[in-house]
Amino acid sequence: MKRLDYASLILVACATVLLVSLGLSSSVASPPGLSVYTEPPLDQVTPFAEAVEFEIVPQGQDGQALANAQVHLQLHTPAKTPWFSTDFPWVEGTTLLDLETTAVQGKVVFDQVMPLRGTYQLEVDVTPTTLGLFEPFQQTLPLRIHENSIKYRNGVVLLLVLLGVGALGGWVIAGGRREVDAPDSVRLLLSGGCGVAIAALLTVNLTAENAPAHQHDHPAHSHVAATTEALKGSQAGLTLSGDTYAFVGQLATQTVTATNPQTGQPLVNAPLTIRTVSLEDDELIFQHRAKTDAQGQFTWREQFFDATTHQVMVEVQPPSATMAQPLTVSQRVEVEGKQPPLLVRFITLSYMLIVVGLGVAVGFQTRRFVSPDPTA
Amino acid sequence: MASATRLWQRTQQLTLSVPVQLGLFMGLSGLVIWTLYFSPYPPVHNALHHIRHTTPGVACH
Repeated sequence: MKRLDYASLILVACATVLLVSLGLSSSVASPPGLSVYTEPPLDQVTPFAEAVEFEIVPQGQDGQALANAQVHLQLHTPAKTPWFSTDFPWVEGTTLLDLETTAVQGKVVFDQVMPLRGTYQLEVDVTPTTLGLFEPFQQTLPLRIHENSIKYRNGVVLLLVLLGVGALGGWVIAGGRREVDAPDSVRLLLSGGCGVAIAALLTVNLTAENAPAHQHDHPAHSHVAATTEALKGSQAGLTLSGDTYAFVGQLATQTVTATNPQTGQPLVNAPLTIRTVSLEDDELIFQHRAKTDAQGQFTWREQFFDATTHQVMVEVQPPSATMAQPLTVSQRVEVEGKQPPLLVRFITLSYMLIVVGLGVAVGFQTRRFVSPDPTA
Repeated sequence: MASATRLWQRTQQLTLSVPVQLGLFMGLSGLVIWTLYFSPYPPVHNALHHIRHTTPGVACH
């Protein structure tokens, strides 16, 4: 009996210790992670519109922003959707931005135009600039962008127009060979005109399809690097080198190097402002404030998704406070576009033709029902 | 001469038959839609660039 009592006591003691330890473990802080803020909020962002400002804050286990954090981020576009294409099918399922930068004041801030609807993946790797400060961690965050609501309105309008055109065509064809509608000679003339129009449109479109997208001297699928320099007095020298010829769907690399022209030494931790602007409509595509590394350099990779010429501009504030004007260097990037895949275009065309066919069926049956052809 | 007349009459009948008329109509509709929304022909592409970007399912670049 005494042995049973002792055994029960030990069991109760073990259970108590277990429960207490579980209670203690529930109060351990959550693992480190990221907070991402956008301006405007993601549910208000429309594709291919104003640039979205992203603020990424790496946080420690205590929920506070991490100091001395090196952040490597990659922004991947939504997966391909051939059955309901976006504006930029070649951009679907690619990487839009690849950036390794230091969190300034505990956060990484950049602006980026989001070209597509759908769910982007923001992949972020956080490592300490000094070993041992914190455990490196990685997180992937989904960012959902909704389609522009204007498209849905335009889609409904287009559907109604296609149905109407189809119904009108079906109505006329169902009329049969009634002299009261039009004599056979007129019908034959119109049919011949249709045939000529079909031949002409086929010729125009086949020619346009086979024409090259751009005329360039550069060989296909090669990156042409260039270097642009800017010097200002003896304070700072700035060099921008990278791809001056890019392709839709592929990342282009740019590197900026800041040096002291007198000593040739790199300018470490020099504050940079990077801006990429589309020259077609003077719109900001990408912007980021960074700092040069120990070699006085900063490298990033971005995708020029809209197949227009871009201007990449980098501004650095020279170290001396007596310099009123920052130093700026820029270079143009030509972008080669491609026609959207034929299959994707044919899929959407078939949807539209199905709607026209439905309209034809409705018009045809309606005419036959309302006024059957006495000559049939 | 009689065979030419018969050939012309048969051609007329075929051309004005419902299947051929429907085929011509759908073919022309398809090509017009392609030209307006999907063709890379520069004058049309540039003129309708904004409409293409605001129509669902239409790929532009």
